[in-house]
Amino acid sequence: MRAVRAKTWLLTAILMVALVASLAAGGQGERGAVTIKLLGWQPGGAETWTKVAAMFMEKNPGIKVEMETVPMEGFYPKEGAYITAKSGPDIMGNNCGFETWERKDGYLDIRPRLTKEAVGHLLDTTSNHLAYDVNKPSYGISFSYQGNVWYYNKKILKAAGLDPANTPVTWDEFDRAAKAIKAIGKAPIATGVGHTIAYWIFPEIAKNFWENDKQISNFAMGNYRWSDPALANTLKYMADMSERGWFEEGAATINMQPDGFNFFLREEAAFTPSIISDAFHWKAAGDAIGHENVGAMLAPSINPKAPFARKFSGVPGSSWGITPWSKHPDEAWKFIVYFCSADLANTWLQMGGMQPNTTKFDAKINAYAPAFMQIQEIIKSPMVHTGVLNSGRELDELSRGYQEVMQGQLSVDDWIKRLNTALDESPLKKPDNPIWK
Amino acid sequence: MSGTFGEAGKARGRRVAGRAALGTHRRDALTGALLVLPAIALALTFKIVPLLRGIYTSLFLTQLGEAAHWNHFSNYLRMAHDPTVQRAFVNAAKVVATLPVWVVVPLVVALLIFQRTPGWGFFRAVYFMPYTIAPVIVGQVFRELLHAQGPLNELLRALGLHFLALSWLGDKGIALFSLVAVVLWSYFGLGVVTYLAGLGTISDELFDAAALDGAGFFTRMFQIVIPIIFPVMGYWTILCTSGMLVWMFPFIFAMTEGGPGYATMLPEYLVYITAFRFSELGYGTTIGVALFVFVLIFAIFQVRYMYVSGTKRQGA
Repeated sequence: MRAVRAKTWLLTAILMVALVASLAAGGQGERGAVTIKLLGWQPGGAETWTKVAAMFMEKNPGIKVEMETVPMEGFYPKEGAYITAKSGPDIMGNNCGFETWERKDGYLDIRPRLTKEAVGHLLDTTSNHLAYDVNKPSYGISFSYQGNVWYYNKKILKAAGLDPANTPVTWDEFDRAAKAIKAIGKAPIATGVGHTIAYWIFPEIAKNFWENDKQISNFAMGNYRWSDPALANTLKYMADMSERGWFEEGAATINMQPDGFNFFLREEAAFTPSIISDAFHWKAAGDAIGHENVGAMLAPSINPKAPFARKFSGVPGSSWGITPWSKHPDEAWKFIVYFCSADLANTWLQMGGMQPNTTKFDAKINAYAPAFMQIQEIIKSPMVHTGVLNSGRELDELSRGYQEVMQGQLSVDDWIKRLNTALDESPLKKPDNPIWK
Repeated sequence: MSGTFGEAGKARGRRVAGRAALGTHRRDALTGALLVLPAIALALTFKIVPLLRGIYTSLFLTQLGEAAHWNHFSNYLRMAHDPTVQRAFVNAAKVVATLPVWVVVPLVVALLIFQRTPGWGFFRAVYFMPYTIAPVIVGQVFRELLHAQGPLNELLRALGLHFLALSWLGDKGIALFSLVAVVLWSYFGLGVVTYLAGLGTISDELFDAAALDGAGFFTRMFQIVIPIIFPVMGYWTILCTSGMLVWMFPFIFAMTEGGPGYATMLPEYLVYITAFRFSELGYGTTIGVALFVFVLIFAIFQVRYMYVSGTKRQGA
């Protein structure tokens, strides 16, 4: 009995020692190395991020980079969980505008770190500041430039008897093209109706109705309601796109954007509203259906003479900031500055197809892609991207409402009411909110 | 004298025996307490404390970009007038209304397997297999399969059944039931196994005796099998009722995100997007508390029914 008891004690002691040793070892990782963790959706592709992280770690042997990647659809809930818990990765991505402002508790104010050496080469750092005001906190920097174009498939246009060199500019021209495309059994537009609607379709229609910058800033501050003319007309014409049968069958049921873009990649549709950087861009389209077959253009205009109608909705791409709970903010900043550096602009451009947020890049790298070269012209005339001025509540209601409107299950008037409610439930979208002062 | 000594001795003996019994009783009580202590500690730490913490959090106003502050019962008042919350709970009630299907379908399959229907061994494995696939994967696969232009509709059209090629996940009227069907497909294997475990306890002699008495298939089912496995059915019913209100999340996440519109929005998903997408932790928790009460009401009724029927059977 005594022998059994002694063995039990010995075994317990061994297990305890092993447990303590493993716990002690677990926190250290590689000897002397600091591990920084990054939460993102890997805009530009996993391959590029892996390469960039490897290059950084080679240059900085004392820092180890670990990446936690989630699909864009699941990013905000994941980020929200970290912000609620006040713990998690050292670096988090985000979109500029309300997506960041509403989650500002998850980011350090990096203004003291914004030296000329670190960010002087970047085209736009203003959009990373709260309320686009450089005197207010900045929550990150962006290595890419982002915005909306429509991609088109030249093969389908030719088959429909259309000229790929003269794509539709007006609403009526597009409607005629849509009819020709449908006549050959293809869908005019491929899209999904998830939250990207607020970023990819809404601003392109809204820009036909904005009369001046003041209206846009009022929209950002919540002074401009969805029942006001510019926004009400935007919703009306978004519904019109569906009523005219421009989208692929079942578009309203697609809440995951990759599914919508894949429809275009499968050459089932002639056009797709999308973006210039990140993932659903010229490179992805060209790699799938041949770069010679892909073109890029601005969305057709309802009123081409409106002041913003033929402008490019542009904004810095994914913004990267340091979390307030990071124990290694200096190392985190070092990595952010590295992957946003001018030295890497060509790498991102070549591998990930990302439009750099700097002028220090060589566009000839991608001269093989006509769509990319068209984009270089389109972005020369930018305007504020109004999609990122939607609050989280508005963004959600835009996509849910659109799903129902497209199926004739919700009237535009009721959609407006729901969006006004969403606006009222968006605390930052109030002119008296401190962020606007 | 001896009698006196005898009485005193007996009394002392009784006292000693009483003390010993008391000691044993105390020791047993202490042992019992020690044995249940880990369970109580776990329940307190992982059930009661989070529940109380959740109720406390529900009394705070936490909105995107704003500091949290004490808000009394405002979240509850807001919830009472929130059409999105109402839609979510109406959807939840519709899901609960499908309960008979959840209870009966696995039972029928289990009975067929139990009857050694040809191929029963193969089907037992096949039916359980979906349960072993991660719900998110199941959701993604069915998202593709059930798309308006997906393989299912292509097949139906090829068979000339155009009228059946519906927008399974896109039509507001059927999306919720498509979702429920997928979840049922994924989980009913667990129900089959649960029922088979209950059926396995029935003695063959009972069937032999029933056969000698001339009982047919249905008589055997309704007079022998179902009464015996009734507690198992009760257990599965409770599991399904609470489960269908809290199991659906990964499927909604992967298939519909609560859409189209709010057609497949269930309280558990609403809690998630409110708390983590809109960062309204307080309000999200309030909806979570309401969901807890909703599930609790069903569970109380069912557990009570099981207890009463079980007691009656024991009495009989």
